[in-house]
Amino acid sequence: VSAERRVLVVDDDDSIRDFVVLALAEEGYEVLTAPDGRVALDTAAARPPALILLDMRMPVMDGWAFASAYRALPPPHAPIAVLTAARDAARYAAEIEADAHLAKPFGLAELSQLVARFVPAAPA
Amino acid sequence: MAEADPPRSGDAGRGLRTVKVPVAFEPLFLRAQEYVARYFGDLHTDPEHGTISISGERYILLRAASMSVEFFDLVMSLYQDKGPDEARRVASNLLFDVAHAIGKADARAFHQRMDVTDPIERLSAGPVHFSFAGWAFVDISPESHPSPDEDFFLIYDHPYSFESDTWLRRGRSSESPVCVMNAGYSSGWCEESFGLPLVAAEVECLAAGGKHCRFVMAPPSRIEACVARHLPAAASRKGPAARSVQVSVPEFFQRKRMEEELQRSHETLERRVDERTAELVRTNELLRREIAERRRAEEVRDEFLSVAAHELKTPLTSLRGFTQLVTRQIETRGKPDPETLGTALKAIDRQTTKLSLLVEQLLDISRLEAGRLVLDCEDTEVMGLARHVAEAAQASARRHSVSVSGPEQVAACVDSLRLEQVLTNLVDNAIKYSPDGGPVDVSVSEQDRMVRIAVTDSGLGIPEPHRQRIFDRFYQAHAEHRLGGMGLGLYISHQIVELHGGSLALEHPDGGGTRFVVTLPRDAPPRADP
Repeated sequence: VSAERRVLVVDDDDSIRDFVVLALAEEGYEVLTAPDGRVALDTAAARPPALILLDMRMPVMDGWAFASAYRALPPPHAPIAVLTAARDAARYAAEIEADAHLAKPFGLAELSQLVARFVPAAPA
Repeated sequence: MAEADPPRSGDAGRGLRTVKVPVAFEPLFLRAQEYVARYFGDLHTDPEHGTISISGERYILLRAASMSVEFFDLVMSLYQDKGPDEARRVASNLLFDVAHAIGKADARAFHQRMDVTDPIERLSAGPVHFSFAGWAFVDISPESHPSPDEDFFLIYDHPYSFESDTWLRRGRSSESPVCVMNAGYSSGWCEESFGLPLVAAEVECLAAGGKHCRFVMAPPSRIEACVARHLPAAASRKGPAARSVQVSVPEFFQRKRMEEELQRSHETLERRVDERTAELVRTNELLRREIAERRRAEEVRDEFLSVAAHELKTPLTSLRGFTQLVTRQIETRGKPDPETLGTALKAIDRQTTKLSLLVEQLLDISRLEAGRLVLDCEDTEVMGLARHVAEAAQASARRHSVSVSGPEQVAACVDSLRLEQVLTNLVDNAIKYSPDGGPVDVSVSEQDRMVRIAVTDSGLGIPEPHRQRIFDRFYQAHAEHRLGGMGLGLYISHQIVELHGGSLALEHPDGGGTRFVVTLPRDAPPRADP
C-alpha cells in the first residue's frame, strides 16, 4: 500500500478508531490512528497521509489546535475531513477551513464515499 | 393737612396736636412732640447746594404722587403681561420694603439722638415724626396692646395719608388698599423700637372705598388673624360700592424669602435628581447583572447541548459503524470475520453501557427538575456497598489502585441504588481526573448519627476558579481536557446526597488531588410528601 492510500484517523474514542481502521482496511487503505492532535502531528510528520479524518473535541490537543499546527508544518498538506458530533458540523469545518465534514453518527457507506472522494480506492 | 381738626385728646393731650394716642401714653408722646417740633424747627433749604437739612440731618423731598398713584401706574404698565394682580403685588412689595427700611433707619437714628431705651418711649417719636415729615397723621386706637412680645398689636388710622390722598386728588380709586408705604414705615419704626419683627397691613383704605385708612400691626405670625378680625364687615357697606376689598399682607423682603424658597426647592430638586439617578444606576446595575447571568446561563446551556450531542453521538457512531461493518461482511462473505466480530461486540457492549449511563443521567436531571426524584430508603450496609463500587471501578482501571478503608460494617438507612450511583460517580471521577494513574481511596467512618464517606484521589485537583461552581448543573471544571461526560454527575450526586438530608463537600488534600466527602444521617430522612 502506497502513501497515496494512507488515511490518518484522529479521534479520542477507541471504538470509533477501531471501527474506522477495520472499515477502511477492508477497502484497501492503510489506516494510521492517533487519540489526540499532539500524537497526530507526530504521526503525520513521520508518515504523511493522503487524508486526515479529524475529530474536533479531544483532550491534550483538539481539532482546532491540530489544524493550525498541521498547516504550519512545511507542505504538502493532506486534505482534512472533520468528523464531528456537533450540531453544526459544517460550521466546525468552515472554522478550520476543512475540505469536507462528516457528522456523527455516520454510517459505513458515508465513510467510504467520503474517503473515496480524496483517496483513490484500491482496484477491486 | 394743617387745617385738619386736631383729633380729640385727654387733658394731658391738650397740647398733643400731631398724634392721637390712648390717654395713658399721652405724656410720653407730648415729650416726643416737643422734641420733634424742636428738631424740625431747625430747617434749612439750600437749593444752591441742592441741600435740605433738618437739625443737621440731610433730608430729601419727594413728590407724593410719584411714590403712590404714579408709581402703581408705572409698574402696572411694566408688568402688563403678568396681569394687574401681579403688578399690584410687585409695586406694593417694593414700596413696602423701601418704607419699612426707612422706618427702621429713622427709628434707630432717633433713638440714638433722644437716648431712649423704653419701647413705648422709642415708639413715641415715630408717629410725631411721621406727621412732621408729611406722611400722615397717626390715630392709635385704645384697643391696641403695644407689649414687646408676641402679643404686640396695634390698630390705628392714618387720616390724611399721603398715599390715598394722591389717588383721591386724581379722582382715582383702587381695588386694594394703597397705603403700603405708610404701613411699611410705621411697622419698620415699631419693629426697631420693640426689637420684634412686625408687619402692618391696611385693612380699610380711603382710596379703595373705605371710610378710613385703617391699619393693624402685629408680629408676622399673628398678622393674618388680626387682618381677618378687623376687616370691615361686608354687610356694613351698602350699595354698589360694597365690593370686596383685597387686602394683601405685606412681608418685609418677601423677595428674599421667595429666593430662599426657590433655592431650597432647587436643592430639593437636585437632591431628588441625584437620588433618582442613583436609583437608576442601581437598577441598571441589577439589570446588567441579570442580563450577564442569563447570558452565562445560555452559554452554559449551549455548551451543555454541544457536549451532550458529542457524548451521545460518539457511542452511536461506533454502534452503527460496527453493526454495518459486520453486516457487510456477512453479505459479502457469508459470515463475519471473527476478529472484527469480537472487536465489534466488545465495542457495542462498552458503548451501550456508556449510552445507558448518559440516558440515566438525563432522566435523573429531568426528575430533579420536576422534583420527582424520590428516594427508596432501606437499611443498608455501607461498607459492602463501597467495596462493591471500588471493585467494579478497579475492573476497568489498569493504572489506578482503588482501595476501601473503614470499620467491618457500617449500617445506615439510605437508598442503596442512589448511594451506589453517588459513590460510582465519585470513584469514576477520581479515576477520570487522575490521568496518570495513582491511588483512589474510599474511606468510610461513623460520627455520632452520621456516616462519612471520603473519596480521595491524587489527580488533577480542582483549580480555585472552578471550586465555587463544581456542583452546578452542566459545569465541567476540566472541560479543556475533553475527558468526556456531560457535566451532570456531580450535580446529580450533590442533589441525591441532599435529598438524604446529608451533604457533599469538596476538600483539597495538602499533597494535591481532590477529596469529596459525603456525610449522611444514619436514619432515613423524613419522607417528603408525595
